[in-house]
Amino acid sequence: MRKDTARFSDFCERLDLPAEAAGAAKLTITDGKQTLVENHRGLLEYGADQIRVSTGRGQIILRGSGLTLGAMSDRELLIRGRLLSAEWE
Amino acid sequence: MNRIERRIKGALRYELCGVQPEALLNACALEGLPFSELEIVDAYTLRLTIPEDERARLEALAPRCRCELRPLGGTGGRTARRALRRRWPLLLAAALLLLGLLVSSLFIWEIELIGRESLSRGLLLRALEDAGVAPGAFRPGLDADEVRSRVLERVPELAWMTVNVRGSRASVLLLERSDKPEIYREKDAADVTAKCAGIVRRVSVLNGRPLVRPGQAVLRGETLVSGVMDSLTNAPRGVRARAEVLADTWYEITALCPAGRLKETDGGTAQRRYALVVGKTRVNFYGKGGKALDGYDKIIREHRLAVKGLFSTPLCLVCEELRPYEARAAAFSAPEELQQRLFGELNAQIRGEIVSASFSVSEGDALLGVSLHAACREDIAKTVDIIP
Repeated sequence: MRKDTARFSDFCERLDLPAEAAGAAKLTITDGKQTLVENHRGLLEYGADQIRVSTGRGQIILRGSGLTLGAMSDRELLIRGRLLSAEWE
Repeated sequence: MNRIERRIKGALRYELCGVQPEALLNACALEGLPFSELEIVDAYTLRLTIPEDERARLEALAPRCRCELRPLGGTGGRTARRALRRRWPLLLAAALLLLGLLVSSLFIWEIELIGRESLSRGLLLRALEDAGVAPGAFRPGLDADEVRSRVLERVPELAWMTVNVRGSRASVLLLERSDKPEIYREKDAADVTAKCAGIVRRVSVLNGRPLVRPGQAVLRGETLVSGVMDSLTNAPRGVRARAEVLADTWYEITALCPAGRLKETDGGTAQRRYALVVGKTRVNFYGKGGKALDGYDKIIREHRLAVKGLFSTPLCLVCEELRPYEARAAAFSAPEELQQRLFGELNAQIRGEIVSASFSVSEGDALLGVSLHAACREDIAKTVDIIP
């Protein structure tokens, strides 16, 4: 399944189609105070200073202060609080 | 979930403990179970709020994610309904209050008169009461056209009126009748005569035959411009003479007033007393021991239980303030006041200007006399119909 998603993602990339259409995770940061993660695969760690989010093909590590989960659905994740760094592993 | 929705639908607060509480959050997201107000207690404990009707689903998910749930309480919904059921007298009082407001909004409790100038408030209120508009009148039973007809018939000084009812407040818009202007027909012959004696300074004739010249002295009632025009071919014909005749005139006006007067001075601490008016019934909170009002200034303030422009109730709190005073004799120290009033009176009488003025003051038996001697330049023309 994970291999198929990766292949479809590569295929979309060759056709110049947006990667998120193939289910790739997308990170949108607004003014460093609000972070939206689309196409996530769940929370791995949740804390006020660090939040780890699974993307299926890796994970996103968000570090900051006063981080809180504003809203969560099976596809999207809204995080509020001061974001200091975002790492993609 | 916003606060109002939470209050209506009800919300439950839970504390969840487990090795990985994030797993329960992921499960909630996958199942579409909404949660909010996430709070981190420690690495293994979280607190969250869910809608009341999602309780069963959350309790089913928790063991699958190896989490333990601990209820912390709830707001709104069933919890609030249970609490209200215990406080039924409060509910009953609120319902009665609401019912009272609804019923009272069907009646008129406040009457506002707009556009009143010279007519007395009492006269208008009595006429309105006779027409069915009074405190306590049933609002849906009012017919604005009928009220208008009856009040206009009762008060002929009114030219027009209407009643607008908003909530329990009746706004009565009034238009008082203005004096009818002088009506004349252009073909009616008229002379221009002098309204007072004086020396003519300028004559501007628009129609008619002038009989006076500048520098000529005229008496009151003397014809200045004749409305009878001679004709070379026919008999004399009558016209409506019109002219402006400027003349120097002289006036002497005297006013008398008492030489002394009483002046109110502060006579002690003011006292307050209260009364409650329910509709037309007044309940005094000061018993029957009302004060005689001699020696007191009475100031009345009314506070109606109402929201302006929205609704009004029959309840009105009346606060009466009684301020004692002492009447002491004081000299009438202001002939200037009389002088100004005389000056104003003369200005209102003449159609021109006061050229010069002087005053004289005389004192008699307890009376003070102030006389105004003035020289004026004014239009003394007055149109008088010629009676055939």
